[in-house]
Amino acid sequence: MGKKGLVFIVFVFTVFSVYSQKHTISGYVEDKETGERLIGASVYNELNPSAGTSTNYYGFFSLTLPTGNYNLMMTYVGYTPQKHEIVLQRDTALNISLDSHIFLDEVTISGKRDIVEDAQMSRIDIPIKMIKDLPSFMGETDVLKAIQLLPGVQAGREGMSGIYVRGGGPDQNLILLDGVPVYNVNHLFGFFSVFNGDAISNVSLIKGGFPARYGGRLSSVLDVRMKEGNMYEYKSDIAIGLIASRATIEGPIVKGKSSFIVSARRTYLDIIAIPFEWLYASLDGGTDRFTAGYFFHDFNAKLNYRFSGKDRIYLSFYGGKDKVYANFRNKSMRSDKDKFNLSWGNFITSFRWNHIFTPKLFANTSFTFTKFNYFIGQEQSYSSNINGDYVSWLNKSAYSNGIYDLALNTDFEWSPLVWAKIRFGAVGIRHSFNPGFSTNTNWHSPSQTDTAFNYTKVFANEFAAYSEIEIKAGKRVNFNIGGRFAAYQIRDSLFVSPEPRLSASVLLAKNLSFKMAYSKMQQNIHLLANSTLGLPTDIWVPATDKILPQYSTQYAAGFAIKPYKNCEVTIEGFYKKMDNLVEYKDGQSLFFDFNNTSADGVEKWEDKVEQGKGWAYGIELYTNMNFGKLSAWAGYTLSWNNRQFESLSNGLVFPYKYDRRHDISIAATYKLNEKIDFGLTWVFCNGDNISLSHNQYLTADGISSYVGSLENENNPGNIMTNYYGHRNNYQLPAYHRLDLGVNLHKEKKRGTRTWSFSLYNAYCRQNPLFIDIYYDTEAQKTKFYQISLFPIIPSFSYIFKFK
Amino acid sequence: MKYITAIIMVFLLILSSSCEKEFIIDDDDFPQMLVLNGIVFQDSNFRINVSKSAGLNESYTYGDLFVSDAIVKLYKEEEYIETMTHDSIGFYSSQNLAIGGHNYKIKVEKEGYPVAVANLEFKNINNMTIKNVSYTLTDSTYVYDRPEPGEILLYYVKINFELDINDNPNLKDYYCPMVECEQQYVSQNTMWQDNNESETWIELSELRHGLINTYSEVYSNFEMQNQISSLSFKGFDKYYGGYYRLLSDELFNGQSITLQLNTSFHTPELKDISILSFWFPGSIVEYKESIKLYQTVNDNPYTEPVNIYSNIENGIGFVCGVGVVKQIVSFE
Repeated sequence: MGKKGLVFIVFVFTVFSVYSQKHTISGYVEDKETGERLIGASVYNELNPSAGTSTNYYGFFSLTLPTGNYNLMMTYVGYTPQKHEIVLQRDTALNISLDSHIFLDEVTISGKRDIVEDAQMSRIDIPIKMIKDLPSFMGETDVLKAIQLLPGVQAGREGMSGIYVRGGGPDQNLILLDGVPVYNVNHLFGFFSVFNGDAISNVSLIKGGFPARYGGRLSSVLDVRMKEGNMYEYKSDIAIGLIASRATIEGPIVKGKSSFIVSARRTYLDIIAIPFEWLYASLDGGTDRFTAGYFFHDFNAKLNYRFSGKDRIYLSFYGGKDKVYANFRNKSMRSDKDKFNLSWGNFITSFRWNHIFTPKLFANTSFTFTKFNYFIGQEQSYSSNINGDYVSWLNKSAYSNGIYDLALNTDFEWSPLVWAKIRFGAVGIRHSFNPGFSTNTNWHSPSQTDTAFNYTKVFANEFAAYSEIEIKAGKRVNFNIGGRFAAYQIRDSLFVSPEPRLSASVLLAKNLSFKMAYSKMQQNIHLLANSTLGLPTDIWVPATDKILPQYSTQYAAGFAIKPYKNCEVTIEGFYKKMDNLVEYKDGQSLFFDFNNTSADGVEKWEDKVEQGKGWAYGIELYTNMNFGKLSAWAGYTLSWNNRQFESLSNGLVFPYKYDRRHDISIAATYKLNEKIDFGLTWVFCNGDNISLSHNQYLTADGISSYVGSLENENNPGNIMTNYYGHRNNYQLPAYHRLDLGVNLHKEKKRGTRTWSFSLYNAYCRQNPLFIDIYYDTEAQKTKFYQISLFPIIPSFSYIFKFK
Repeated sequence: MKYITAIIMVFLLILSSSCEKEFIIDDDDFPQMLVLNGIVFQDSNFRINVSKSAGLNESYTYGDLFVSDAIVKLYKEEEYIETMTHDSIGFYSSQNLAIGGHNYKIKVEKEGYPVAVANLEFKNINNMTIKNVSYTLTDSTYVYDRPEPGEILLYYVKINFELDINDNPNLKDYYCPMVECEQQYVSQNTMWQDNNESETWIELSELRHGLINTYSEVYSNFEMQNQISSLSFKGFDKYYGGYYRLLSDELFNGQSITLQLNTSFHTPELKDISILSFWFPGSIVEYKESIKLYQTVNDNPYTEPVNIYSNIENGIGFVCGVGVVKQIVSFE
């Protein structure tokens, strides 16, 4: 051993000698009433707040301090702070229950962590209570619609739940439900999200400065956590809305040790329609019977069990489905039928095991499965009389598509020193893609043909390992430095990606800090979207040797200010460069393409898309405040968002469809008293960019037809050709909308009753959804019509929470 | 109560308001442009068509779109050589011929429009050679219902020739051999090679009227073409429908190879036959592909709109140069 080796050993020994004179306080912070673990609660030394930490996603904290006496403070927004006098002479376990009653009405949007001190930037937590108090659309609380109100987050088209973060696409968001990716977040073609507000406990969004523990998407991480269930008593509530109703029940399985929560939701448009269909059929007197309908339902369930103070397991489940159907039947010839089905849904399950190895080392291991698939089917059957014999005919066609992920991941949190927290872990994912499977059956007696094609599942493997260290360097500087190594294998191709991550904050004054962040991300899957409507027919496809993984590099910097006790302001600038983005080539679509394989078996979708680059940059201003009865946030984003593809728009730079220069959003709730609270949201943004034909002209073909028509005295027909210039060449008028809501609460003998009334688009702004174009033959000119989706939409819901 | 009734009435009125309204787009946002179209054959006069685009809010007839008062200047290797003259419905012709191995530029000026520019490159086509031409001639009787029903004596002609092409691998271009006769009822068909791959056809019907007047029309026997379409060639990777075969230069891959071709047809009168081989730039295929795609998906709301391929600077349209070698076969 050399001299250097000896010095190193002495150094390590010294460090650990010093370290050994410190002790660790560790434990969980939970809600006193329900036993729910509190995520992001602060635990710190009252005299030296910088010596502190916060609870992780499982409510666990670990704080290492020198031997001594401490007044340890535990705080969480909306809860009464607690102080514990600790004589720290050995490692100490401390589980804390916080009382939520006194400060229940004070809700701060991101106040769990101190935004001035936290190294993490571009992160916003929204309490689920505030989401519920905001005006709802059709009586349905929607997490994603609340997220759309944040700066840097764009909504798609009117009413849609999709989110577009800092210039990214809807596929670039890592949307996690209890740590498991959700591939399709849309119900009812995007008007509602799959997240049932009654089953959700925590929502946080990260737009930049991604910690190394997150990866696989370019633009954002939306981490949604389900409730765990009340540990001490049974609770239930029901909500009846205009189009859907939901019910939730939670309670202990073994008091103080195990709990469960079950929540279900279903729409009933299809059930309401049944009497009208009967009425129509009886009045019509025709030969056909027609039924059609739509419904969605989802089901959340979770149970957990505490084996000991060190071990706890969770089992989470989500299942949801949308279905559209239409059936025709001939009354006299019952065998004559025509059926159509479109259905899609997610299925998610996860098993997690929390284990505390030592007071300083916490581990979570998860085994998860997520599935999204959709199915389109059509069936036509009829009989015909051939030479006196009845022959049955059956034509069936079906198309399905799906993605299935099986994943195993383990994450460790190690808090060896008061100024350092280390996280490390690894994840392995087995992807199974089915990018288009079609079957066709044509049968009639006595012959039959049955065809299935493109049943070529594509498998891919993904592995990532990460490590990050959170360091408090003195009282002013915090930073989180880490790296992620990701490898992705498909067929014979292997893609590796080192992804460095860095975020840092410098405390400039007591209430002012400067922050900056850098992150590099790789995404191995692409979403082929036929439109922006959030259709289930959007297809997830793997990156291949032909269609490469997407990459992004993001730089962000800004200031966090806390001018008042209950007011936070952030100003952030960002620049994001994205490579290998995917767009359909001109005129291409996979929608209802039943011939999407070529003769050599290569998936044709790879030939239908083009890869290019994009970049987005801008400034975001965000403030949230809580002044007693009033809680509010406001955001403003000034941004630019462009794309460039070699073979699209002649290789010229063109704006992204949601390149909205200005985006303003305001959300507020006001609690008048215990019985009444109000909610308001207002949004304004520049209109969407669309590809609009702005000139028509004659091609050589058109001229030939015209000259030919002169020679032959024929009508040449419509020989004009539309000219679009570059993609997204026209910006629609600005979008703005005001939503209002009021909640009326009343204590009843058996619980609390709430009537919620909402007005969507309160001043009935006709926001353009798209432009319809047709040629007026009388006026001999092209005419345009703006189609708007929603005028003012009133809605209500009835909620009863049982005691 | 009456206030509540009034509020409800107003509310219902708003609720029932139409979600559709006429949308006015300012034409000033999208200025109109000149449209140039033309396929110019080597050793022929330049002839292109000039029209203008129609704005979104404009009422027009097709005839209104053709431009007869434009100044159309022809440049050879960046040097002005002449101003082309208008002859009919937007067509402008030159006195000069297009010479192989030169680059040309056509600048079109019209007041109120940006100056539109078309660039044409005429490849030096001495890389194409037609050789070893032979034919057999047989009298035969063929029933044909034109010019009047009855039997017409037709000659049955079979021609064999070799086409030698030394392709430039740096250019993406195409070749098209064909046989032409001034008479009607000529069918040209049948090419073969050992390799069996896919094949390519191109429809050039739009070249007939005004855009090209050098060659008379070539007629084919459709039934025979169907038979031939089952044959295939390496590099014939595009299908357009119609009567002409377009050979991708991938067939040659930068090497000089010889194709053996034959054609057979019936003709009532023996006159000279022309064997032609055209050279097309790759842009003509992009143009034809985009036309085909446009027609396929024009009204499909699920696809991004298609722009037809344009190679005009500050304008719209498609102008290109086409090379040709020709060999006359005289019957003795």
